[in-house]
Formats: sequence, structure tokens, C-alpha cells
Amino acid sequence: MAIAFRRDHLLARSSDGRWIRWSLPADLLTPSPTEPNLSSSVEAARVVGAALRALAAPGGRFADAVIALPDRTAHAALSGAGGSRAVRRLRTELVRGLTTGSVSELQKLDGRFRFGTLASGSPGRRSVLGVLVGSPVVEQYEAATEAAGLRVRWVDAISLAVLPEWLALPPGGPDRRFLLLLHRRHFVLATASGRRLTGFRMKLRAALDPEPPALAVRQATEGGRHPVAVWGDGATATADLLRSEGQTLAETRDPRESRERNGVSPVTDRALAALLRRVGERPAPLRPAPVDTTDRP
Amino acid sequence: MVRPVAGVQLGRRAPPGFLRGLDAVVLALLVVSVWGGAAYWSVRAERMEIGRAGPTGGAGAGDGDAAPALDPGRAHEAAVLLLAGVADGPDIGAALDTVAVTASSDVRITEVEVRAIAGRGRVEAAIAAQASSAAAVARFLSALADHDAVLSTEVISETRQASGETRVRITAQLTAGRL
Repeated sequence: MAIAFRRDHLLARSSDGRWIRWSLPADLLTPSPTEPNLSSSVEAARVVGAALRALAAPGGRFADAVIALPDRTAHAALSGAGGSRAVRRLRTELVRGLTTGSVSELQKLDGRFRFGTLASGSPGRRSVLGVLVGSPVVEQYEAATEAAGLRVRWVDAISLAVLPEWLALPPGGPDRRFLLLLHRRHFVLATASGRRLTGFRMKLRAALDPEPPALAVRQATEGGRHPVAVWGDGATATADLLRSEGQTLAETRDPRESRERNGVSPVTDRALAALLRRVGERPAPLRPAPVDTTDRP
Repeated sequence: MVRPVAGVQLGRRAPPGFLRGLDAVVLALLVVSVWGGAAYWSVRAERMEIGRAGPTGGAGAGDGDAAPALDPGRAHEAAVLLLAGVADGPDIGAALDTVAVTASSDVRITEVEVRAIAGRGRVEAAIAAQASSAAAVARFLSALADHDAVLSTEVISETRQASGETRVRITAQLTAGRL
């Protein structure tokens, strides 16, 4: 069982391809790396439980879960070096980015954060993406999931969960490649050189506005010379804008254009499938029809 | 088959249900040897670093000269926002940092006021700045708009003087948490 938490809904996906989108009450979830995200843990547990009951086969139940947090709970930065000292420095910088305390206070605060890394590239030329989230923030999501009777096996963030498998793909064409992951209110632009992550950027945008991601791509791709894969909400509009500017596109996946996925964002689906594979499950393709998409109090 | 790169693990992970005894022994030996090697090289590298920088050099976990992100002069403003429950210290510090690091040398920030706006997790910075030219203002605006934490920018007023110096007032909406 894989669960993605979004601002207004959660998407639960079982490894046999069944899925459900469950609406969240307004203001229940506000992503932040430091502040509590869930305004009511009880309500969050109730929603997760209700979604699971609707998704489970009659008499069946789920035991384990992998969960993907909203991207904006994750404070991330990329280090071009992969040594232990570089990773320690990266962690310190990330902690400093979330606090205003002095250096001595940082030491005390450090234990209040969960730190994860994604290393990529060859041993001699490695980069490390560091990700920091406040421990109480992660614990809120874990508690809501566990209260629904699940054991949490892996915690990740939605766009970050997509990256390892994208990096593992054979580059195929030009050495540099770009991945633009679009969400309704923000986007992520990742750059890879071979299998090494060389750029990672998360930026906000107004609802589905294609201009900010197009601007970021223009600045990063040096005049459209390198191909960009565009996935997610509003991918078609953004791809059209990029194409009109002469940008080379590798792939476009927009949930609205994808009937067989019933409007599930390809970013969310890929993230959940990747998380299931990471804990040894084999996710089947999404079934054509969701089990349910409405909230039942 | 290409083995995927390990992912970001932010939470707990339950141990696998079953691990054969021989695998466990081999794994333990590997871990001990890798840990021993890593510890040796870490100590060696740190000794070499101390040797280069001296005892008062840059070794350690932080930059001792780093100024706190929140200017003490903004304490009242911060307190108001904190009491109002609409922003916290890091939010205000981050907003001030964003403005400060975006300004280039030809732009002098004369005033920044951070205030809460509708929508949790957002603040607005009212910025007054003096620039050596209109082009410098344009560059500052562009850099500000491109900052990850900035949602929107708006020029409230712009006054150009005969010397070319330009005074500008800008409001920028920022996310409260840092991305």
C-alpha cells in the first residue's frame, strides 16, 4: 500500500493497481517543513482509515505502507560533492536554512530534523541531494497512517520519490537531460548529467500557470538545446509554450490527456509505484476505474 | 537490469521479515569493516584539516561569523507577527534573507517591512531601495521574481533622479517556509 498526501486529497494505491483518491477537509493539511502540517491528527487518521476501507477487498486489509509527503514539507538542496564531510556540511546548511538560531543553537536543533539523502553518479563524481524535514512533521504523517492500522516502511516526498528511477534510466541521447515535474501550485526541475543529478530546483507557481516553469526551463537548458521531459498537472500547456520557444521536448505526460489513468497525475503515480518497488512490491499498472473518489464521512 | 539509485528515506523503515543467518553474519562483517575504514579516513582527514587551518581554523559544524538571520532591529515586527500567529521567526528571517541576498552591489536596500497577508504560510515584504540606475532596478526585480520563495513582485513607485539614481518601492509576496 502506498499513500501520497496532497494538500486537498490523498491518493492511495495498492500494488495490484487499484487506487483511490480521497478528498481531505479544507485546511486539514498545510505543507511546511517546520510547522505541524495536519491541523487534526484524529481527523487525518479517520480519513486514511476511510480511504483504506474503501480500497480494501471485502474481508481484506493492508499491513504495510509507504508514504509520500507533500513536496513542500521537504527542504532540499544539492551538493556537488559526495564525501561524508560534504554531506555533514549540507545537513548543517539545511538545518540553518530552517532556523534562525546561532551556531550553538543549531547543534541542539539538529536532532529535531529528519535528514535523508539521494546519492547519484559514479563514486569519483558523486552528487548528493539532501532533504530535511522537521521530525514532528514526519511523525504526524506516520501517526495518522499507523492509527489506520498500517506499519510505515518508507517515507519520502512525492517528486523526490520519482528521481531515483529517472536517474537510473539510460541517458539515451544528449548527456544533459531535464525533468520538469508539474504540480498545481509548484514545480520541480531536475537536471542530470548521465546518471548524476546536477540540478534540483523547487519553485512555486500560481495555479497551473505555465510561464514560471517555462522560464526556469529556458534559463536552465541554454536555449533549448537539451531535451526536457514534462510530467504532471498542466504539462500540455507548458509543453506548448516551450515548443513555441523552440525547446526540445523528450516526453509530455498530462493527467488530463491520459484517459487510462483517470486523471491521476503521472508524477504521483510514478512516485507511488517507485515507492512500492523500493520495498519489494511489484506495482501493477493502474486499473482503468478508481474504487471511489468521493469523501464519505 | 539497471539497479535504481537508493531513495530518500525520511521516516522509519521496518526491518525485513526474514534474513538468513549467514547473510546476517556476512553483512555484519562488511558493516564493521566499512565503518572502521570510514572512521579511520574521517579522523585522518580531520587531522589533516586541522594541520592546514590550525586549531582556530574552520573545522567544526558551523560558521562562527554567521549573523542571525533575524535582525534584532526587527524584533518588534517579529513579535507582532508571532503573537498574531500568522508567521514565525524563521518565516520573517527567511523573507529578510531573501531580499538581502537578492540585492546586488548596485542596489541598496533602505527599508524592509515584513507583514502577514491572507493565506497561511505567506508573508509580504515591502521593500524600499535605491539603485544606481533603472537597469539595476530591473535586474533586482528580475532576480527577486526568480527567487524560489517569491510568489509575486509589484513595483509600487519608482522615482528617477537626474543623476540616474532610482528610488523604488516594491512589494513582494513570499512563502513563509523556505523551499
